[in-house]
Amino acid sequence: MLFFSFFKTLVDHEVTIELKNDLCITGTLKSVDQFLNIKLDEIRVKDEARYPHLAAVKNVFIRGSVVRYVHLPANAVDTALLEDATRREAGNAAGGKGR
Amino acid sequence: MSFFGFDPSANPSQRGHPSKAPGFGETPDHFAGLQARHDEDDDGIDFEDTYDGLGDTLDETDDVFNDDTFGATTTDRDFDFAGATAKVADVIEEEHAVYTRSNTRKQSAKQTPAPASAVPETSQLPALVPDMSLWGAPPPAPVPAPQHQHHDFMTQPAAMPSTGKRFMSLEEVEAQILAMNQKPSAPPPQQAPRQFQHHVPTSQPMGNQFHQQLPPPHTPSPGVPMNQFGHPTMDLRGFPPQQQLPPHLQHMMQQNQMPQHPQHPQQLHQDRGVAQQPAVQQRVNPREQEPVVPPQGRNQYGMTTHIPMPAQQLQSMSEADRARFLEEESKRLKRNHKIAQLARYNGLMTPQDKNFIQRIQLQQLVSINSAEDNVNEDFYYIVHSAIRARSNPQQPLSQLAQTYLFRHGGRGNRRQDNHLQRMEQQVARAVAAAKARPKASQLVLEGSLGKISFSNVKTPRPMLNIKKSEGGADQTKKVEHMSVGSQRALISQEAQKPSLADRKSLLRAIENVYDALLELEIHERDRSKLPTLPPGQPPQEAHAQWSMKRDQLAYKLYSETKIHLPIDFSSHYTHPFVAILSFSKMKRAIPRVFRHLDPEQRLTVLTMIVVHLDILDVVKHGIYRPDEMQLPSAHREEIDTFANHVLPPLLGYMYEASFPVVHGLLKLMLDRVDVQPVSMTKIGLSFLTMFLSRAELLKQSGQVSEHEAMEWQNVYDRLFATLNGHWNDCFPPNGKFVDDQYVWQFLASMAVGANMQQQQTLVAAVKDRVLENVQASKILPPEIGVQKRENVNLFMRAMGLDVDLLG
Amino acid sequence: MTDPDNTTTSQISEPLDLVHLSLDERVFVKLRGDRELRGRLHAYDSHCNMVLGDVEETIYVVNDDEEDESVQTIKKHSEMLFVRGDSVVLVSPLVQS
Repeated sequence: MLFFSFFKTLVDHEVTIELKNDLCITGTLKSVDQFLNIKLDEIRVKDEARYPHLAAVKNVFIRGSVVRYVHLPANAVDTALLEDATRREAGNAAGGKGR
Repeated sequence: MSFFGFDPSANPSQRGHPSKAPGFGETPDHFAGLQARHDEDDDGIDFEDTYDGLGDTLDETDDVFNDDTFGATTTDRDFDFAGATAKVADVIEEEHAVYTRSNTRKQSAKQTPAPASAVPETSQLPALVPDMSLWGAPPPAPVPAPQHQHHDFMTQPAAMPSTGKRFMSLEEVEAQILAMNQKPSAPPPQQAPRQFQHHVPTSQPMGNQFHQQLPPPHTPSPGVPMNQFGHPTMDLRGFPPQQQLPPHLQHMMQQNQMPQHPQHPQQLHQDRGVAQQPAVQQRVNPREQEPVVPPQGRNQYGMTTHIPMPAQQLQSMSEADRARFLEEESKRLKRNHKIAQLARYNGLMTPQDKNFIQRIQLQQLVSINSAEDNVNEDFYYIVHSAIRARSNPQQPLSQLAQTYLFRHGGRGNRRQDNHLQRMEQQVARAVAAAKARPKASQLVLEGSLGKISFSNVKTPRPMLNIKKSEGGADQTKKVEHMSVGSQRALISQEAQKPSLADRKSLLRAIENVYDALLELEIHERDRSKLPTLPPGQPPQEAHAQWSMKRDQLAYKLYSETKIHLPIDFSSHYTHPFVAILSFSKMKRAIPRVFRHLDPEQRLTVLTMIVVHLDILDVVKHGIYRPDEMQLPSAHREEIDTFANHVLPPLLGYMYEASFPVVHGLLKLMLDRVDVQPVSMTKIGLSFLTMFLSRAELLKQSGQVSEHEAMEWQNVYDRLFATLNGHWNDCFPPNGKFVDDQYVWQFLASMAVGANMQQQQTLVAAVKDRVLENVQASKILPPEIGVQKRENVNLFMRAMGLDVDLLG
Repeated sequence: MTDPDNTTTSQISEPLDLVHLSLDERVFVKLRGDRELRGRLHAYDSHCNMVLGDVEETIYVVNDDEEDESVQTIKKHSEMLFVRGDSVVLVSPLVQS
C-alpha cells in the first residue's frame, strides 16, 4: 500500500506518465487506486502528431499495468518521509521488525 | 427497410417493443391487442404480423418444463394431492375459472365468440387482475390438460367474462376502460373475490385486464404445498399463499406444483363436503348472502390477512359498499405486497448467523478505526497530509504528525537557515562584544580577566576527563555499568572490531539505526494513548512502563549508532560511528537521533566527531588538491549534507555548552587531531569557529574563572601556533569568487581572542586576501560584493578596524 | 538483535533486503526494453515499484537497418521518477567512483 499511499498525496499535482508503448501523457493526477490505476485530467500528449487520436481526449483512465514511469514533481515528494514509509513497510513485511 | 425488419416508416409508437407485450413499464397498453388487428393491412412487414403472441406469455421464470421434470400427469393417488387440494378448493376453482376465461378470450379472437355475450359487458370486465408473475407466469396454452379446460369452458359459459369483447368497437372499449379506471367500483361481482385473492401487485389495480386474458397458470393454487408445509397462519380458503410466504418457500411450492387434473372439483366436494364454494364460481347468479365484513388480522409478517368474502356476499352488497370493500381490498393487498417485498428474505439467516456476521463486521470496524493500523497501511499519506495541512491551525495535529512536524521543521529550509545563522550570529556577537571593549586589545584582555567574578564556578569539568583520553572506552564502561544482560553480551561481541568492515555491513548498521529510530518515534507517539495524569499524581503503571520502554529504545538507538564503541588508535579500522557517518543517510539521521539522546550522550557524539575530525569524510574530502578549483560534486554534496544536518544539532548543543566543555573539546582536538589540514576545510573551520566564538562569548559574559581563562589562553595559543603560517591555506582556491564566508568567520573568531601580536600576525598574513576581497567586492554584482565586504569587515571589526579605513 | 556479525550474513534473509540497504543510496536499475536508470532510491515495495530521485535514464537503441548495427544511446534526466516494478530487471547499488 506504500505507493498507493504515496500517489494519494500527489492528487491534483501535474505528472507525466510514460506508458510501456512510449506514449507520454502529461496531466493532473485526479485519482489513483490500489492497483495504481490512474485518472488524469486536462491531458496533453507528447508528440501529438504521432497520436492524433488522442488530440481530442481531455481525460484518461490509465490501467496501472501499462505504466512504465510516472515523472513526479520533486517538490511534492518528501523523500525522507518516503524512505521512512518504505522502512516501515519493509519492516512490517519482515515480521514487524520495524514496528 | 431497417436492418431488424422493422418498418422505419411506421409510426414510432408501433415500433420497438410490442406494446402489448409486458415488460417495459408498469402499465400495459390496453389497446395494444386491438391495434394489432388494425395494423394488419399496413404495408411492409409489421412486427405484429409475425408476432405469434407467445411473447406475451413468455416468462423466463416460468416453470414450463415442470412437466418434463415431474411428468405431465402426476395423477397418482398415492399422493395426497386431492386431500390437500380440497382444503383450498375454492382457490383452485377460481384459478380454474380464470384460466378458462382467459383461454376463451384468446380463442375468441379468432374463433367464434362464446355464447355468453348475454352477460353485460360491464360485469364481465374484471376490475382487478391477477398478476401472472405470481404464478411464475403462464405457460403456453397447450401444456396441460386442454380437454379439461375446454370442458370447463363449455360447461361454464357464464363465467367467461371476456367473451363479448371483440364485438365492441375500439371506442367502446376505450370508454369502458377509462370509466373503469376512474371508478374501480364495478367489477363483476363473482370475479372480484378471486381476483383480489390472486392479485398481489395492485399498484395498477385496473391496469392488467388484458393480462388476465393470458393463459393462467396451469397449476392450481400453491396453497396446496403450502398446506403441506403447515403454514400456521395460512388462510387456506383463499388468501394467496405467495403473499405470506418468503420466496424460497414459494419456490419450493412451485416445485411441488402439480398439474391440474379434472378430478379435483369432485374430490373437493367429496372430501370437504362443501358444495357451496365451487358453486360460486360456476354459477352466474350465486345465492344471495348476508354481506360479511371480512375478518382481518395480521400474519407473521405483519401482513393483514382476512378471509375473502365469498363472491355471492360481495354481489349482495350495495354498489357503494362494494366499492368501498374493493378499495379496501386493493389497499390491503397493496400493503401486503409491499410487506412481502420487504420480507422476502426473512428467515434466511438464523439469529446465530446474524450474530456471527455482526461479530465479523464489528471486528473489521475496530481494525479499520484503529489509528495504528491505519498509520501502518497509509503512513506516508497520513503524515504527509498532516504536514501539508499544518497551515490550518484550527485543526489539531495528531501526535504522530507533530512528531514528524518537529522533524520536518528541523529539515525545513527556514529552520535550517536559522541553525546555520546561529554560527554567524555567534561570531557576530563575539565580534560585537569585542568591539565594545577598549581599543587596545591587550588592555581588553587584561581588563576582561580582571572583571571576571570568581564566584561563578561550575563543577570543575566533569566531562573533560571522560573525553580527554579514552572517551570511547569510558563510554564502554558506562554501558557495562548499566548492566543490562544483553547489553553486556552486545558489547563483548561488538568489541570484535573488524565486524563493520565492508560497505554492506555499514549500510546494514545504518538501517538498524533507522529501524531503532522509527521504533522509538512510534513509541513516543504512543504516549498520547496513555491516560492523562492529573497534575501532582504519581505516574501510573502504564506511564512507568512507557517510560521504561522509551528508555530501552533510546538506549537501543544509541547503541545502534556504535558511538560507544571503544576507540582503538592502534587499529587501522575506522571507528564504526565515523564509518557510518560517511554515508549521507546517516548524516541525515543525526538530527533525529540527537533529539532522543540525553546531554551526556550528545556530548559523546560531539566528542566522537571532534576526535575523528581529521578522518571524517567531509574533512578528508574537503581539502582541495593543489590543482583543484572545485571539489568533486559528490564530495560537495556530502559536505552540504553534513553542514545542513549534522552541524545544526551540534551547534545547538554548543550554543548552551559550558566553558569547561568548550575548553575541553578544543584541547582534545589539539591533542588528537592534526589541526592544520582540518583548518583547510569548511567543516573543520566550522568546528573551530564554533568553539572559539562560544568560548569568547562565555568569557565576556563573565562566567569563566581566571584559572579557566588562563587554561583557555594556553589552548588558544597552541591553536594559534599550530595554524600560524597556514592562515592562507584556510581559504578555498579562487577565493575571490567562491563563498569564503566561513573562513572570515573563523578568522574573526580567532582575532577576537588574539592578543595584539597575534592580531598583527593575523592581519599581516591575510592582508592580501583582505585587499583582494575588497577589490573584488567592487567589481562583483552588488549583492555578492556587499556580502564579500561584510565578510571581510567581520574580521576587521574583530580587531577594532574597518574596511572603510582601507579606503 | 544488533549483532554486527550477523548483520553481514544472516540478517539478509530475503533478496529485497539488499535493496533495503540501498535506500537513500544511489542505485542502478536495469529495465526491460534496453533501459537503465541511475538514481537515488527513495522508496520501493515488494513488486519492485520504486521512486528514484535525480535519475538519469539511458536507452539503448539499435539501428538495425544499417549493416553495422550501431547502438545509439539516449540519455534523459528526471528529478523524481516512479518506476513500475514489472519493468524492472535488476537493482544494484551504485558505488560512487
